[in-house]
Amino acid sequence: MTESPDRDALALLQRHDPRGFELSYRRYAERIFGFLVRLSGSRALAEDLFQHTFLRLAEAGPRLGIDSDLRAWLFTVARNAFHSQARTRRAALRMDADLRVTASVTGASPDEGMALAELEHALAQLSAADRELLLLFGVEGLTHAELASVLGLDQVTVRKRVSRARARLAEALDEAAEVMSKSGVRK
Amino acid sequence: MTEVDELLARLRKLPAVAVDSELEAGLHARAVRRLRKGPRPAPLASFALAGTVVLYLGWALGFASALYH
Repeated sequence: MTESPDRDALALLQRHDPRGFELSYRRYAERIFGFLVRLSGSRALAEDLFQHTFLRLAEAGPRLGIDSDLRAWLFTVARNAFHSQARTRRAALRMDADLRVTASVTGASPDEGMALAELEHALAQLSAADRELLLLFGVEGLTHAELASVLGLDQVTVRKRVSRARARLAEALDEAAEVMSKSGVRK
Repeated sequence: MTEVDELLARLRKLPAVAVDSELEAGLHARAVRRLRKGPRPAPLASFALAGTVVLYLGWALGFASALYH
């Protein structure tokens, strides 16, 4: 097993030391929250799932091994929470205005902002399964092995699914660009 | 393949999303309480109930066996 980059946080968590929670939170909170906002398409829902994820860390953290992959563990808890609530509610999850998170990114030029908005829009058009794969692999940079562990699949299947999801994102991006160009947002 | 790589690069540029500070404060307080508390012990009431049931069954067994002696 490779040495975890989060050994410091995990060691503190094992001793029920709140500094372990703080460290983990500082490292992963924004990534987990961004993942959940984009996956669920709703900021309100993402906030519930986010709280669930980190409260779970407070409960289960002391039992995690010192070389656990904390990042993969957090993404696993977050995605399981998302799928569990989706099953319970059986609701069609629709993307709402909350998803336009990149519109207000500071420091982005108008062109960059537009490109990011197009990308967010294209991601929102994908199925939850494709979106989840691309968020974890593309946005969060999880390796194929980590992805396999988070999704409970083997690596070969993960590679195939990522490749298909990428192709569908490329198609959705073309469509998004076309829509923006027709609506006069982009010339 | 270039298109795929370019796509990945674009995905990597998507920014993190800031968490609401009020939510953060509440979450921290609850998380720290849970972390300090450690594993939840079985509630005292469950032990008391189980003990009562065992005592009652013991008494009932003794009573029933006394009837046949």
